[in-house]
Amino acid sequence: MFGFALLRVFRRPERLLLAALGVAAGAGLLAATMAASTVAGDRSLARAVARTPAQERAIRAVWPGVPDPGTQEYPKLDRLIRPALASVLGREPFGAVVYRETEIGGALVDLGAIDGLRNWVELRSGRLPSTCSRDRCEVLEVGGAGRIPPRVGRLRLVRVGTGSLVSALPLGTSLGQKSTSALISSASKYHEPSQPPILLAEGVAGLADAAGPALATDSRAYIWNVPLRAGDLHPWSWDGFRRRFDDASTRLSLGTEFVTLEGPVDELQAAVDSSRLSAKRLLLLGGSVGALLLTFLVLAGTAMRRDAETSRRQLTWRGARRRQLASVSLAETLVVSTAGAAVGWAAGTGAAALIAERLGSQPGAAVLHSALSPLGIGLAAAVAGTGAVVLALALWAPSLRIGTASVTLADVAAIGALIAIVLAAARGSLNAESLTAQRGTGGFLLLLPALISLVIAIGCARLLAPALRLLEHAGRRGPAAVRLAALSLARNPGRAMVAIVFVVISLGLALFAAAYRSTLIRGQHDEAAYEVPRSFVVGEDYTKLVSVLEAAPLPRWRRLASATPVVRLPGDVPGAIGPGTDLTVLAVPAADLTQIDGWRSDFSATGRARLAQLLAPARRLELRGVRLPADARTLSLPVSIRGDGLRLSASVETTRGDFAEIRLGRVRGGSSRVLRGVVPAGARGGLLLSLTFDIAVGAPRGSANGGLDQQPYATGTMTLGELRVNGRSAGLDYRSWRGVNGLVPRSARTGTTVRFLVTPESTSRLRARQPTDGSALPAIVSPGLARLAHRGLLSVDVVGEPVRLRVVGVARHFPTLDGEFVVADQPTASVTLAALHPGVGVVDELWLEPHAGTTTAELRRALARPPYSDLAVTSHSAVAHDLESDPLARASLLALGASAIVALAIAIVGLLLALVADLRDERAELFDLEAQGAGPGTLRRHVRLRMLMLTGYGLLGGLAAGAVLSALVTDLIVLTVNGAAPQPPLVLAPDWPLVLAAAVAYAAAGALAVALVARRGLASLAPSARYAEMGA
Amino acid sequence: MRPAIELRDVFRVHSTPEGDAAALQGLSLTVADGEVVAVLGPSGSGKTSLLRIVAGLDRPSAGIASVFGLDLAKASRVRLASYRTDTVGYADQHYARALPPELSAREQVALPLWLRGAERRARLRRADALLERVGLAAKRDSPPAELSGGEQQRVAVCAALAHSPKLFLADEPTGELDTASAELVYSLIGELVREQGCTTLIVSHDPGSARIADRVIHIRDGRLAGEATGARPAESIVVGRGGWLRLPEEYLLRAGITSRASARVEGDRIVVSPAEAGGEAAPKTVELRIRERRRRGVIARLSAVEKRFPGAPSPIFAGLSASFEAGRFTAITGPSGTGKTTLLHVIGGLDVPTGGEVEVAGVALAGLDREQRARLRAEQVGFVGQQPGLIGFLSAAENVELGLTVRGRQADDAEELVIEALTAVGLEARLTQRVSRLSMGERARVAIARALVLHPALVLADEPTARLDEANALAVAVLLSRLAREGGTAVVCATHDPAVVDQADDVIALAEVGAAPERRPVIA
Repeated sequence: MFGFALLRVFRRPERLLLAALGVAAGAGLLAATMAASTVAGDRSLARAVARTPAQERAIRAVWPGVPDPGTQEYPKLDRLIRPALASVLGREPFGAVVYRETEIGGALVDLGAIDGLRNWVELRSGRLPSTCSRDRCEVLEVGGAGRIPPRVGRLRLVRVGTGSLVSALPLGTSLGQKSTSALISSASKYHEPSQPPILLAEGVAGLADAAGPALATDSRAYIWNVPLRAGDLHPWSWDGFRRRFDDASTRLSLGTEFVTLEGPVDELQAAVDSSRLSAKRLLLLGGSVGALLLTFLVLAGTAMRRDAETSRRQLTWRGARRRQLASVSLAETLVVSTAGAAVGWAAGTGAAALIAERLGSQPGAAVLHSALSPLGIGLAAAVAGTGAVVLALALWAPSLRIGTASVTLADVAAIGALIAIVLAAARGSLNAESLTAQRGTGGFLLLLPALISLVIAIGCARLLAPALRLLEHAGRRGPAAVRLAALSLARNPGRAMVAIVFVVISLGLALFAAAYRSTLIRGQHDEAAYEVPRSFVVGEDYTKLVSVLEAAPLPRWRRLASATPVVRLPGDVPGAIGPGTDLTVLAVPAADLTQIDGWRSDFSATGRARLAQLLAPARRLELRGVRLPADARTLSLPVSIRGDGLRLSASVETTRGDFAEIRLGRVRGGSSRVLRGVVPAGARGGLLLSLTFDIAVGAPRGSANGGLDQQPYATGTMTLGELRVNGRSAGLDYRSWRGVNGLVPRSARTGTTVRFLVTPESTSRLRARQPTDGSALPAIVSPGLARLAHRGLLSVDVVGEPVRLRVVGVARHFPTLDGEFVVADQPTASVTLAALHPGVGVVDELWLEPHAGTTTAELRRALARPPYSDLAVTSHSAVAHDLESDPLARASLLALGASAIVALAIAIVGLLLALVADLRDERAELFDLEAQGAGPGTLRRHVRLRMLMLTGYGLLGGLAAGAVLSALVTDLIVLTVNGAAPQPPLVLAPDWPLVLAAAVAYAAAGALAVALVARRGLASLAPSARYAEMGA
Repeated sequence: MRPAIELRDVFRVHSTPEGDAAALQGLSLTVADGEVVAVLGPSGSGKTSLLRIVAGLDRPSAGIASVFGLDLAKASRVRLASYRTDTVGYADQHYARALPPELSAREQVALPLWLRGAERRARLRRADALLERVGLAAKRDSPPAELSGGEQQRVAVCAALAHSPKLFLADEPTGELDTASAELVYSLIGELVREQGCTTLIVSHDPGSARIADRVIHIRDGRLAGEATGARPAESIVVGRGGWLRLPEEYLLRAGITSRASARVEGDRIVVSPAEAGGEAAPKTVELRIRERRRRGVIARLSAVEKRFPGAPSPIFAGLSASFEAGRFTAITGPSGTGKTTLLHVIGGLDVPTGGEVEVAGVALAGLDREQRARLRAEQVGFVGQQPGLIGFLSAAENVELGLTVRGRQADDAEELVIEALTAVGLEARLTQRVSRLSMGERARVAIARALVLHPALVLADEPTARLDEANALAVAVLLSRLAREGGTAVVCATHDPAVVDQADDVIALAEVGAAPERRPVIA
């Protein structure tokens, strides 16, 4: 019967066109989504390759050491390693060798060679070297400075030019590179030799031959490189690449010792994983499109049912058997579905190819490995097959009837779906970890929108009939058209329900896609603001080791920009048994709390302003101590000791806000002396906070400590005289000082006698009393820490010092923080910490915002200049741009946007379809109304109201469905747009103007469609002569 | 010899959301092999149910149905499907619906053979031969849309007979044809079925079908009521099993027999008379209690009215003049397709004539737009359609009240009007009953009540008895008649039903345009 079905389809295609278009739209979106996700993954991987540091952007085999003559000479190694490496990316490697800091003839050089040197250097003077010969080895100096060594044995190095390496790729990290700042280098007390001349020859084999016996015993590193290019790796070829890489690694390790195969494999694997994770999230869209497609087909089937029934009747009377009827129906729907799927798939693939080309991916390869892959073709076939079956079932299924109290199969299906969703959520099958681990969640993710939609749809269906009856009752006193509309819908609620369910689902999915998209966009903004709460975060660059206050004192920062000084320290809550709880202490001025970005109201039940109030101290806090004069050069302190000897030092807060320690010297046990210390320039004018007592080296005493080891300690009595600065009294009144950690002073104004027991376990200090002494530090803590607090108090260790906290608020998250945390007011925290341990609590980070009148760009330029250029600067806009430009993010957002638009369009088409079918099938009822005296105006109002009810109910249902879908999915799928676990967590953030615009567009399109269709459909209701006479 | 068709005490009950309805009530019928039987009866008498059971599409609810030895009640679905495919040929009244629009005439005829797996060449040869036989060889490649009604029905008959079925079933095969076409189709059927030796069952209410039949049977209320053969052309009453007789309602009415009768044997006769006084004699017909309206004169007038549908070669009626007076009940009769329903639509302003003038309540419809015609209808016209547009889940009173709402009347006296209207049709005890729980006759009365709730000057009724049994049909006919005479309403009713025609004061018998002058529309 296939031929017969074909004949019917081609002779009268218009009756099936709409269904085919629906399938085409769904298939196209699926194909485009599939291909776009592959393209995005490809771009993402290419971006990861491009971001790999130049010295690591290669697959590289490295053989370091001194070769055994006869077995490990370069030609032999090369024969072994070259083919193994070539098999990884299918390209021949080029070689390099480095003799690092090698002494040749009394001169220290970095000597190396690269095959094809010209490709990697830029010539500044002279010429490029030619290949080394045994008598003459030409080299290019590309860095360092120093003497070129004389001939040693046969090796004669001849510098023929100077230049620079344009890429670190050939030699990787084999050449020593200085990275610390000049400031640090100059400040360093230890000797660091200057960089010797870096000399590069052409060709590894030539240098190996020329170096010969001269460098036979010198260590070197042979390197074989295959540079990674942007187009080398693709998501679809990644697994093969990994396999070849591992194979090559095994081959090399079996062939020779020492050789290692290197490459940025783990980093790229992370990018691949991330793209696969994102691709999986796109399954949500696939599921949404699938649900939409299925519902559309059910609606189309319902609309086509009358025609199908006529066909079946015709064929039945002509003698067709049931299986023939079924095969004709199935063949027809298969033709329609296949044609739709083919056209849609082709269109979607074409669109994806265009996108791929535009994004710089290879369009052919991208679609061949996605939409046109066996999986893609299989999916298209599945769409066609499923579409055909669903359409056929919709054509054959008995008319839908809504039960009242009875439980139908649909109810059971909805309850089953609900249970499945709840179980999946409870099992945590839908978090990022599970998604990555592929624990069968892909399939469930695909089904999730359909399951949620099913539950909502059945719920809507259940509510429809009573709602219509209620409306009819309520409308009895109202206009006739309202009552008639409610009645006509209530008269045939099954079909109205199908239409409404379709509209609800399509609108719901459109809104879900839009809301999910806006949520992900909001997530990007939140993520950027959370990571960088103001325009810039400036901190220490750990390769340069310059702190923010070393770069510039706080007043200078404040002249540059609006600066929020921040202290960030690690800490922990000591556990009674086992490891404690790690935490981060963040101190930010309470006054600035309300001005930083990245805070969200859902972070805490307490408002941000209130939290700021709770953190802020009642009065301004300042460290107390003895102010040193600005010209202070020396400190002197008369000391006599009974008992063990000690070493003393003084801690001074410098004028720029950090701390300096002044060593006063040692006192042997039983002796007296005047200790003296030199006041460094930075400490002049500073505030002397404490005197620190340390055990002198070689302490004579020891005690068993937990049976582990002998622990040294010192004990005795020390008498301190008047502290002098530059020989004059410093004004220290010992009565206002106190001893901590084993010191018990008995003080007079100008002297004190201190009983001491000093151990390495804690730092013993004689220090000025501070305003924070005896009080707990007010703090906002994470919920985990809040649970550990007792009566609002909590003790944590910060850099080894116990700090008492008074919990004034609880927050789930705080900008820049992850895990457990403590947030305190910065001045209060700094005083508290400095009192405990001078040097701790110093501002180590600044959050900057341009002053009014200056721009972010100007501030960025300023930060790029000394003295700020030695610091690590993170820009909010750079982070935001990085997140937004991520191909995965762009593809996800594009796909979600496209889905929203398509779903909205399909909702409008569905509404139109329902309207046309309604008017066609309700003609007799409408004619009856006209016969009873209802004029065209009343009929038009009736039809419009009827559709308005459908539209309104659909709109309300769609909004509800969209809200439920968005909330559930956002809650369940804890992934950012970039495919990572979000920090802070995503919050549903519908773009209300967009939602409103979509609702208005839907309502307007619906109204227009109703007006047009009603005008045409109601033009003449009287049956034509033939049907009038036969009672149709 | 074993009969081709044997039905004994066949009942067929249809389950509907509104409740069960018995279409056949103990029907018994025997048809000999090769016999051509015409089954006549009014709409709703069970003809189509009979046909569907014989075709194996429905099973009897009770009784025995056997065709060519196959017990249709017990046969498996597969066996029934084979039976339909191998044994049955079927021609439908609605040829336009019966013919797939995408197939040419040749493919239509070849389709049954295609479905039975015949070779393409063989089936086309057979199709061509049949089309040649019915004079449609030249149009074999035309789709249905390019064929006239008669041509389409001829194609449909050829398609039904293409596979040489042993049993040919036809449901009103000329229902949509003009007389000439109908005669041609009947002749064709007669010739073809006799050529092929088909046992034939033709269901119709057109007496023209009797011309080709060996036997004509009449069914009423799902039972075999009468029979006539060539040997006994006068209709005889069929005696059912157990001695059941179904007396025509008209006989009972004339004899004054309502719910009880007495019978006695007088020689070789049985005399049936009303039960003796003192016995229960509740009237079968509805007691009409309607407020008299003092209307006089012509309520509606037609002057040389013509109606031609776009694309139709000739008007469905032309030069039609008639007037409908207050207090008179007019029946419009005529074969199917002569424009009875269309005429009602034209009178009611639901359709616009292509010629002539229509005047209702002194207002010329030609000067009114659709909205104004609707307003006039709301005020002056009550309409009872073939399918009463009642809402099953509303009560009778709510349905009638809805009619008021549709007419824009939401007066304080609405409840009073509704009760009055339903009382007028004898449904005062069923006011709050859901329509879905009412009988078909009661539903027809609700529809009439809805039409007359505002005491219209004109009531138009389109086949109001089409789905009613004889007793209910008669009750409705009487109701309409009294509505005219006692209510002063002009009642115009399009009908096939003799029971209705018998109650009419005037009859307009429509004939197709082009017929002989004496068959032009006349008021009898």
